[in-house]
Amino acid sequence: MRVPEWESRRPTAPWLPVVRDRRYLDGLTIHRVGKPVFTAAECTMCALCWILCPDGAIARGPDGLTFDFEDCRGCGICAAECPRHAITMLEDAG
Amino acid sequence: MSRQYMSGCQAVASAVSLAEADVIAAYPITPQTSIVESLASMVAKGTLQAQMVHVESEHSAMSVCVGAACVGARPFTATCGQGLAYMKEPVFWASGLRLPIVMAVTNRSLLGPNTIFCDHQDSVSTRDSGWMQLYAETCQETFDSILLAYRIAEDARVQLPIMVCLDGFFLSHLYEAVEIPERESVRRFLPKVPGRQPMLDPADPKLLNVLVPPDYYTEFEYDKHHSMLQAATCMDEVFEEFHGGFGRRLSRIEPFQLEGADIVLVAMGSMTGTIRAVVRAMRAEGARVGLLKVRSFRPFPEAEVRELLRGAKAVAVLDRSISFGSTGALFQEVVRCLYPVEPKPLAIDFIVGLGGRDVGPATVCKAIESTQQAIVRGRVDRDVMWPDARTDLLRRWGWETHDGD
Amino acid sequence: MGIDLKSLPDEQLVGVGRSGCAGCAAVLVARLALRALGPQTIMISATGCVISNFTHAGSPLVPFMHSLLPGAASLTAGVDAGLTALGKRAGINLLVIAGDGGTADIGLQALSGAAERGHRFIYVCYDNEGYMNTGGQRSGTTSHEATTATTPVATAGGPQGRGAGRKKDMPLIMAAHGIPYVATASVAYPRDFLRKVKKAASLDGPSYLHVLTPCNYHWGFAEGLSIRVAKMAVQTRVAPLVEWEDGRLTNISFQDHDGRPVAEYVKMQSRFRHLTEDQVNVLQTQADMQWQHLRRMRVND
Repeated sequence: MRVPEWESRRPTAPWLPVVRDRRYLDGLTIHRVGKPVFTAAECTMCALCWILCPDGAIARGPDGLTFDFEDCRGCGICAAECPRHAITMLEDAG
Repeated sequence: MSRQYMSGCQAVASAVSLAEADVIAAYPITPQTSIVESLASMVAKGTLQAQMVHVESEHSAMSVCVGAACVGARPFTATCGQGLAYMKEPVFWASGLRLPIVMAVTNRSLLGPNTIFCDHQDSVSTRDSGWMQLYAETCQETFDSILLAYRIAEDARVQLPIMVCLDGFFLSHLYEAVEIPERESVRRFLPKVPGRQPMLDPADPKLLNVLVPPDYYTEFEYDKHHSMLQAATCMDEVFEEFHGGFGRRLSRIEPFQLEGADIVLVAMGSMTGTIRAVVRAMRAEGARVGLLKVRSFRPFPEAEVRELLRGAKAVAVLDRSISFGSTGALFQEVVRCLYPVEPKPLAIDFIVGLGGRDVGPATVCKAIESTQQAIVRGRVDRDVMWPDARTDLLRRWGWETHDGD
Repeated sequence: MGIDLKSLPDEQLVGVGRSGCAGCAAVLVARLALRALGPQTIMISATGCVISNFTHAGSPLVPFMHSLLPGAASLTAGVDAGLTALGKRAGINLLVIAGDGGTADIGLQALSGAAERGHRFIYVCYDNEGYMNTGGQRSGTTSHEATTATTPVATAGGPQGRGAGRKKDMPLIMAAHGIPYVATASVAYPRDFLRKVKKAASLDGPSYLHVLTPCNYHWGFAEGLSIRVAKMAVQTRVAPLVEWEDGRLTNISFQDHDGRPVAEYVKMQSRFRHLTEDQVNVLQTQADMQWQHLRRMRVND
């Protein structure tokens, strides 16, 4: 396993700066169980899916919700909890 | 500067107070209790501004010290015996995190069997932990060692925790006159801001104590090992500066009358005082004996010990510990130092003073006598001997004992 | 009575990427706590599911330290004491997140000591009822009769093993310490959860939040049902939502309806698949007695 921070300077103690990018995910394939399909028209911005996503894959912005499929594991919690059934889960083989 | 009459425990507390420790976390265990009581009294009176954390166990005591050090505070704890055993997990952790924690260990045997009395089993059992270890002989040395410990541990080249070991009861409860320097001179020697950035700081968020995979683990350990070896250089510099500031010279090892010595006794802790007296008396009668006192057990002063023992005919190590099935801890270090030396001195390990048994002049003389006999024979028959064992009792227990055992 | 989600900032305090199980509610507990507290937070977590999923990918963006398993609360006490000694304590939340193992078993001593001494911290226990990070071994809070890796119940032939023993009541234990605030919370009631964390952060002393956290992998249900199982735990009164202040039970939330039968909670999870009707009745009795006990303890009933 490669730790870029420790390649370039002596850490002395085992610490890292907080990780804000995907440097440790390079080359890793995330197995996705399913893929959420979001129907924006049904959404009331209650933001339950946003607050409950364990992967933080749903972002909330001025234009509504966006789903980040790089982080989404396809667990289906968002679909199960949306009170408007605005999210359905498709099986994802990838 | 004042001269005060105090115990080893009080000397620790006085030094910790002058070092202006920020967080004191300790759990009571005989014979360390007076250290923490003295510190509590100082905090209550307002002479020491520190957070006292009355932890519910030694494991927590060390964890609290780790937490305090990680936010840039100066911690202190004290323990011994099974208390040191209870904190074994965070003791190893602290050195891996490279935290400059100072701990006083009032050497007490590790249970097996039950005891509250002195030997070095507790601290030598943590010699692998990555903590530096200094062993004190007198109350003055105890006091000085605490100030030195903070300075050495916090040095940027070192950044390792350190134990100051003082024999339980024999030194912790021994009253002697101790020179206490002025606060200002201590502050000059031991500045309060060690230059270490806090590791836990919302202004600069870090992940601390991350998993180190096999691809990097060896290098972290190499770093720790070599930093500890560098600590020897740092110690020499700091001892020199301490001598300049306070007039007392400490060193990693202290030779005494080694010139032309046929037999060199090697030991650490309070018994070195007794050994010195015996050596002085025997030298006066023409015997060629000397003492090599080891103060820094970790890092072990390998090169210095080798050079000082090179010319001896025999080395008698007095160990206040035993690794069952093998030898005492100091003996292993000494023999490793002697490995490249030709011709090798004879070497015998004398296990003495376990579980609070006093190491008196008779025991020292017996060890010297056995060593002398080995020189005459030209060989060592048994390299681990027990000169202060009650051989009559052992015989009643069914053990076959030997002369000078 | 919960926090309005619109009042929370859009940004997360957790970086991109995730490792760990799909649908993991334990990581959700950590994310929710951070959302409630904001960036002036130091986070400590004991060895367990959260720490394993919270470093190189999906890293917290606040200062974070992995404590020893027995010592989340003692490391926290050290941070609290150190910051206090340096005059830097004000304005910083100290968040501790530990699993049930690091809280009720090996970590209980340090937690009890830190609580008794009155350090200021917000302790959140994600109770997934077992040592899930190491493969699902039982813990002191595993539900009565549940099958686990170390209390395996033979389901096909052979002698019947027994499931786990009685569940240790951590919230009650912590309430007995008389600390300023103890509460149970649920990922199924996120606004209530957030309110409780914010309340804890406002107090000058120890707070303890106990969160029953369903583990889809070891409890045996589909990933997307984590929140539904958590909700059923509350609705069947297996895990009621209560609050204690200074040792007095002051609030029971969401109690207007009758409790649903515990059997509905049990049948959602294959770790209870082997339960006989008698064993389910035992669980129902336990939930009923716990509910009556809580009602009797509440101060303004």
